[in-house]
Amino acid sequence: MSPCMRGARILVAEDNMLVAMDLAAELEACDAEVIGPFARIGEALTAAAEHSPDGAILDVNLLDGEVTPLAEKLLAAGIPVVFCTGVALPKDLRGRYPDSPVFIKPTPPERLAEALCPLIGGAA
Amino acid sequence: MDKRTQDCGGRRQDTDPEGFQEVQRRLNAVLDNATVAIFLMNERQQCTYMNAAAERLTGYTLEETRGRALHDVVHHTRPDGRPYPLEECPIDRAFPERNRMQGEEVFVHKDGSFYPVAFTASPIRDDSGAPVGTIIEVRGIAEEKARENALRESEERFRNMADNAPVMLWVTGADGCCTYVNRLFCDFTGQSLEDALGLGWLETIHPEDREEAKRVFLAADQRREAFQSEYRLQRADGVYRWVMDAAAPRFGPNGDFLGYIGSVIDIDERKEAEERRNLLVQELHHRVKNNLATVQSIVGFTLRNSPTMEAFSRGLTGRIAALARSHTLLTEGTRAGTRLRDIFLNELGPYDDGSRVALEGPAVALPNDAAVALSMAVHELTTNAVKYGALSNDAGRVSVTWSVEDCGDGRKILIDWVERGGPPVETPARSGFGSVLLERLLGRQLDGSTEIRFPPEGIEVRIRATLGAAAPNPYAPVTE
Repeated sequence: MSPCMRGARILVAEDNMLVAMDLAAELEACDAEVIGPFARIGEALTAAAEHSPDGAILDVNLLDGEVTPLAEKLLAAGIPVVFCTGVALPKDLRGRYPDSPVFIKPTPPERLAEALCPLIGGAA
Repeated sequence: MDKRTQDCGGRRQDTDPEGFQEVQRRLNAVLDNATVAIFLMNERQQCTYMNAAAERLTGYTLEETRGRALHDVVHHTRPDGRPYPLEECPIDRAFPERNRMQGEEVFVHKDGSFYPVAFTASPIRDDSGAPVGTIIEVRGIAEEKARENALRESEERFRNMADNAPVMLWVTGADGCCTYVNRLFCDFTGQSLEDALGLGWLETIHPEDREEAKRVFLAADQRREAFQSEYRLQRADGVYRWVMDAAAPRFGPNGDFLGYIGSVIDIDERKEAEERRNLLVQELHHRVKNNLATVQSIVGFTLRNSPTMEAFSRGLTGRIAALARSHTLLTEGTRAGTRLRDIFLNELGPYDDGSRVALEGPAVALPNDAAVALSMAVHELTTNAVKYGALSNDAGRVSVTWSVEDCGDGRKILIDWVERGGPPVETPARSGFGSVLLERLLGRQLDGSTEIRFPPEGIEVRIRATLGAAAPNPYAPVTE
């Protein structure tokens, strides 16, 4: 459990819904408010604009393509992001987003939550 | 020798005996050491002189030919045996036409054999310019001819081989320009030999590959090295095919660079198989990772929803088995995807004695991700029915009906799961795990919605889903 998650709004984008549900359940168990999970970039972008999340956990490949436009929008708005990828080269991702932790699937959801925790300064 | 030389002069020696003898001696040396045969003829076309080389070439001595028409001695018969009349002989035309004649003819040796010669016949004029005779130079060209024939034969042999080879062949010169392509190249590309020559063949390379192919060629050309490159070549029907071009430098006997000879083979099918295999490996890699992630999630949410270790163990093994079954379906499915009917049959089949499960709907295939998600949801519904619903007693029945409707860019699917004959149903106080899974899983992944109702006579689940065009199933047997 990551106590700093309490009350934080976390956007989840993950197209494997079993994985997404498990991650959502973990975040909810930490008393975070889950925005999503979304399997598509389009839906996630709309939700991000509406709900101004405190942080995001993103799968790199979603149903409608690479998560890049969503990640860039969030990071530009100063919203911390943790990546979880099954295919993309982590090195490449780390190069593009040096401040965002990158995990390779499968990663336990609590590890993702723990990584996001220190980045969400305001809600801690 | 002296006798011969006297005859070629025609001037009296007594005007300047010392000088004349010297000139005669030199002339003699020149004529008898010349390697070309020289004949002199008078105005009646009779031979008045022949040098040593001429005697060697013809087999006759001057004595034997003097006063006779040269044609009648060395040129009387054609190689095919027909007589060769003097009037038709181009050598003898020089005198009457007052012109130098040149050409090639075939002479007859004293021993009867024929031999090819190159000749030059020039009229000799007196001081007034009137022709008084003919000087004929003749060179035996048997060896030259043999060499030429051998070369032509070798050239023909090469062309014959090249044109019948099962690969495309090309040859360039030292300047990098194409000097030859074989018939298969012309047949394949639709270019004529003339089109292909020079740099014309570059036109048949895909515009995107042309610069790279040129670069590889020029780089190798500079170092005079063998090279290999792959590019797309346009076939006569307009289709681009991947080809492999392998070329080796050609060197002359002195080691001088002559250009390249290259062979080109169509590797399009191999290339395609390679790409398919790479895609498959990538896809497989992705699937393995994804499946491990799925299993990890199943462990996670089963743990969260299990009051006891026993329940956890039962729930976990049941779900992992369902996941495994759904993957079996993927490998058995068609390339279009997994059949919807099979997904239900897979989970419900073990509980059906022929009367308890009814499946009714048109043939429809789901893409892989959707198939796995639906399989897991159907597993939850089935598990619930077996524990508490229509399959928990001996009389209940589960009926699943579905319909498909094409709409714009996708298909709308409506699925109804209806349980009857089980114990009376009560609306649960809070959503169970199965319904959460159904709602989230199917709602999100299948782009639709799930409605669960709890009338006393049995649970009713209505699933609406929208499917895009089904993604190809990489696990499907190739021989479908």
